[in-house]
Amino acid sequence: MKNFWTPFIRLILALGIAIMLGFLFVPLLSVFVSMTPGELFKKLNTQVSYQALYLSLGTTLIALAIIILCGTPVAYWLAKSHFWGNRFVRVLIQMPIVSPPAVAGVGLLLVFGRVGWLGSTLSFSGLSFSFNLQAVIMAQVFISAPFYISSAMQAFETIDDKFLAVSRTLGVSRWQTFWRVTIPLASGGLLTGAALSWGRALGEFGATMMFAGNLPGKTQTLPLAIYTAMQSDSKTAIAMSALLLFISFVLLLLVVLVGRMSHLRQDAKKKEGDSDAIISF
Amino acid sequence: MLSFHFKKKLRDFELNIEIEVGNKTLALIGHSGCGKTTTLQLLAGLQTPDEGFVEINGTKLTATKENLFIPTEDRQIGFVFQDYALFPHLSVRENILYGIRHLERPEKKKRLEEVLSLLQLEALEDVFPTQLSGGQQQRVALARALVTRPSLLLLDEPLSALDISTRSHVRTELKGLLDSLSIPCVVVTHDYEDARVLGDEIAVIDQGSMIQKGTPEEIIKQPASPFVAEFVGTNLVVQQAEDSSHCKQSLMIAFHPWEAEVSQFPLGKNYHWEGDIVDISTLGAFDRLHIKGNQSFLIDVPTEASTFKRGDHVYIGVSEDKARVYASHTLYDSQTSTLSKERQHQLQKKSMVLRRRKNRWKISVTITSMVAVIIFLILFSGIKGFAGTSHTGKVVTMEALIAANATDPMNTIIKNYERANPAIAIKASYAGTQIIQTQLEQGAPADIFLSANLSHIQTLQKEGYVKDFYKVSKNHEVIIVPKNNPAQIHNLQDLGKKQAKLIIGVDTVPIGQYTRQIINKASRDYGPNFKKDVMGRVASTETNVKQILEKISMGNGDAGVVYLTDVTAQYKSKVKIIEIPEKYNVESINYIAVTTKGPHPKRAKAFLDYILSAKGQGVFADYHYDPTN
Repeated sequence: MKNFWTPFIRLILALGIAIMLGFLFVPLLSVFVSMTPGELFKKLNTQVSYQALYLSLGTTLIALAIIILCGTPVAYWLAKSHFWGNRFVRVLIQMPIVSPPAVAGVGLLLVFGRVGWLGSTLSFSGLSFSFNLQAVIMAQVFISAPFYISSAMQAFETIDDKFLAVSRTLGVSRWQTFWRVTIPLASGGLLTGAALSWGRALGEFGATMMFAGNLPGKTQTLPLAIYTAMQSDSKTAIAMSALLLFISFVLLLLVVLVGRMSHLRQDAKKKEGDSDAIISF
Repeated sequence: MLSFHFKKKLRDFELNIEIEVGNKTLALIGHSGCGKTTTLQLLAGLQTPDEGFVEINGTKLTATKENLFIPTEDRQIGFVFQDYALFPHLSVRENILYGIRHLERPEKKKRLEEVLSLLQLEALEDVFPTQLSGGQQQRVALARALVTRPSLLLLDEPLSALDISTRSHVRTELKGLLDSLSIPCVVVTHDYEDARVLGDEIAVIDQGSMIQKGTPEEIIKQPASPFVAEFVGTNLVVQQAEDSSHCKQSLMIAFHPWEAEVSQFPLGKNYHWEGDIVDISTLGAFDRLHIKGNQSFLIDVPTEASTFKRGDHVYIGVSEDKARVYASHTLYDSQTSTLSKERQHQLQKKSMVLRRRKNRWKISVTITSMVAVIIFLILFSGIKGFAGTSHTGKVVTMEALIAANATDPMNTIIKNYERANPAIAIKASYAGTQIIQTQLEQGAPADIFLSANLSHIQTLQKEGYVKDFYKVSKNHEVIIVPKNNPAQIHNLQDLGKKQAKLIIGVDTVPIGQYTRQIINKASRDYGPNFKKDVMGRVASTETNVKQILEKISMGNGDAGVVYLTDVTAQYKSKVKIIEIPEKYNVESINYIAVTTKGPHPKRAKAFLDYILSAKGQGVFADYHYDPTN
């Protein structure tokens, strides 16, 4: 028997969902509809925005490379070795996700700033880490690495050790096994982690502002350029926001598509195999 | 020919096993957790023994005495895991070829075809493991292991992942395959039936020790202990007897369930016991009685003759010709001295801890050095050139830290100056004074510093970051309201009278401090309540002027206090300016200085002079700044 209230509850639920979705999408869409595409493009066509765009893409790609190179061993180590304090290290690694980026900026300054712990020592050797390109990359790595590491860690964790053992009994070394079994099996999680991480690095603002400063063409990434433009010409800021959103969207789409493709390959073969699978014991 | 001996301390007991196997199948049987899977892993080199060796056809794979341990991948063994562990991302063919990738193409093809036909997998070549039935998965796992031509095959519970209906069929097939191989095979199972069919020999293991080893027939005929008898489903009674020389000796009496008689009354047999029936299971033509007395018995009686009920007290008798009576044989000598054993354990523990520490140390060194190398590479590679500051010729780049309120005039001045001096480029960083002050203190390589108030630049002077500083621009505050002025505010006093949402600067930034000074001054004339009323209506405090302007121009607030010069053309259409009476207003003065630690002090001084000159000051006037003198 149908409850009298069911339609009302459904209506309220539908309304709630619609409001939530609207709330999430409309602010993002507004960036695109507030200006005509021609105007958008005209506002974007300035040296400042190009500089910021190239700087953003370049630094985030370097940051991503560092994150993948250094983060993968860390993730694998945390996922596969059981030492005392493992959990504690895991929590520590996630800290940058929950701590405000401004805090990260302050922390980086305290360590690498001119009067910071390491910074003061390193400045004697002529090295400087703050307010330059290295600083931008460092801030991005600091803020976005945990996204990759925790995603990769989960991916590695789900791989049963028996696959690694059986690979070795088949005469394949640990290192080869890592490339031929672990990486393919973890690829989904690694890819998602890399995309999340890249997206976060692209949007990084607070720590960069604090630690690297806001110099056009030098440390001014797209988010900083948007912030700066907002202080003088909000239309340019909107145009740059649209650009950043567009890049992030393409990035997300790419990840979904690549993930799909690797699944499709298996699915196609599965379907082929369906008819054969009937021949069983 | 395989021979091995292992000693290894496990959690609850010590594994201690020594076995030799010819080119036939050995079934290791025991309860779960008895150490049989550990034995397989020790054979495969997936675990290391505390002591012992493994030798196949005269080649040693493990020998603790010689400190020899060949890694798993170089052992040439086939290992079939309990649930087969097929790689889910590879097809059947790719799974089988996995271990022979290094071989020549024709050889690979030959071997693949060989195992495919041996295990009848031709039709499944392109299927993925998730689509296979349990039996098919097992055959793929066997094919994958056999294609590498191993010298030893290990099977861990090969049948436990299958359901009952397919099990006996797969079991006989597997038996046929194992018989056709001419290498030693070790099968681990907890099921006696599996062991009986698959094993040419059976070794029974309990608590890490081998209790008995023999052909299936030997074991069922003469079980070495009640444990073995229970495992294989037969009866064994151990009786203490005294022989002619008055030596105490254990006597084993074994008989099959169908070799005994049962009755409600005592039976006149050579061997007899009594007990209660605890369970009756029907096995076709006969009922199997589970009888519990001093020990438990399994006795079969023909179904049609069975009048027994659960709970009946019965007598069991076995005639002499049926019973197999033999002296207890010590199959395994586990009676080594306990003292030395304990010492061994201690030593083993120590060495294990050391080994683990060694590994941990290795991992951390690897990671640290990787990170170090990468950081090093980044710092010293030419990424500096990537920064986009690709200036041709000898262009000198200076950096300026500038308070955000001077963004527009300073941009114009910099543009003008760069045009007049093509050899100089100026990069300006605009932020709140507090932020740029911190940045300068933390080593920002700036030549010019422009402060929005006196106290910040005085602090920097005290700290030695700047020396002399100059007034560069003067400004004053105004009230702004949205164009339609919803709260009907027309002068400063209205802020205390009308209900309005006020948006002012936070008290740590200059605009916020000036706003509070204005209100304090005004409350002397407008009465003490003025301050209370105004501050009570503040809806939001912002960290910079632009935020206040944005919020008022979008109608999110009814009135705000900002610098006159901030109300640029873009905002003039959206907000209305209300001047504050001069006697209450506060002058806001920007100060500029050349930094002491900047890389280009002389050029910076020249630029500073330009800003203070008529040309520079003219730009400020264009942006509606008040004259500085």
